[in-house]
Amino acid sequence: MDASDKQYRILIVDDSDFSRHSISQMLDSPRYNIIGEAANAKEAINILKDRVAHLAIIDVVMPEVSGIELAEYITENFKNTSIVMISSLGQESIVIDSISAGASDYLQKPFKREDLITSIEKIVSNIKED
Amino acid sequence: MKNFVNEINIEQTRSIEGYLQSSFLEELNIYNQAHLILDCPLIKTSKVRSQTSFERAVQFNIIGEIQGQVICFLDTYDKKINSAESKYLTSLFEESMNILLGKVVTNLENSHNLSTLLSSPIKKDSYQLEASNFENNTFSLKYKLITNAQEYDCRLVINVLKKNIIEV
Repeated sequence: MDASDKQYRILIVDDSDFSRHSISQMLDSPRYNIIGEAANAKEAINILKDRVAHLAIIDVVMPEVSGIELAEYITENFKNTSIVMISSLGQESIVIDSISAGASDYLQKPFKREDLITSIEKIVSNIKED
Repeated sequence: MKNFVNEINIEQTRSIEGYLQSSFLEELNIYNQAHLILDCPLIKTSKVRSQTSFERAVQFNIIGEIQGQVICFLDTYDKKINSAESKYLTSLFEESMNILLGKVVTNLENSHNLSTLLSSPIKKDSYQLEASNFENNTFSLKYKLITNAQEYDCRLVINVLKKNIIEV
């Protein structure tokens, strides 16, 4: 199978129903398989224990466990899952913390569909086939 | 004379009101599904109107060199909304306010060097707007939230203090 035909498995983690729905709509394409939507870190980890994801899109500010803490956990425990952090916040310190936690990219809300697709494609182009 | 004018401008910029005024956006596109348009600019206020039965609300806390809370109200008076639309509208409103305030907090740091963070949305049964909590540094502003050809009034009540950092 050509890399351009491959389907990528994506998890969306955001405490906002509207945000999860908007991202899911942006990724409505045969190229992307949304394997789950999680409203918090606990739900996200439960999904990842059951299903393999190539990529997790994670909101930074969430109640209880933050997106950055979740990114650290995923980086440590689900090594084949890449991460894109998203947030309404755009301070440099938060972007640096996100990258340090293992994220491959950071998008400030509200981002455009093209920006999300560009970010995802850049990351999945580096995924090595098993 | 030139220096004197500059000093006044610097002093105005240093007030919380000045920081906030320059940090709120006039317009914001929310994922092509809604628009926020500034309807009434930020003003200092001494009287805060209580939440009406038609208003939905959500609170955010601001933490850092500027500290306090922002309570956002969405007025649904005279709007016919079914239960499916109602859930969507509440979620859209909360995320729109999160995005707007995230931009504000980012501008406070990037433009005014005020290191500040925003909490996740805090939902309560009712929002206490007691006068004693809203003295001195209370501001309000209004936005129109436009979605599906409907316009909703949003008012934001901001109660914040600038944390003084004393270097020893």
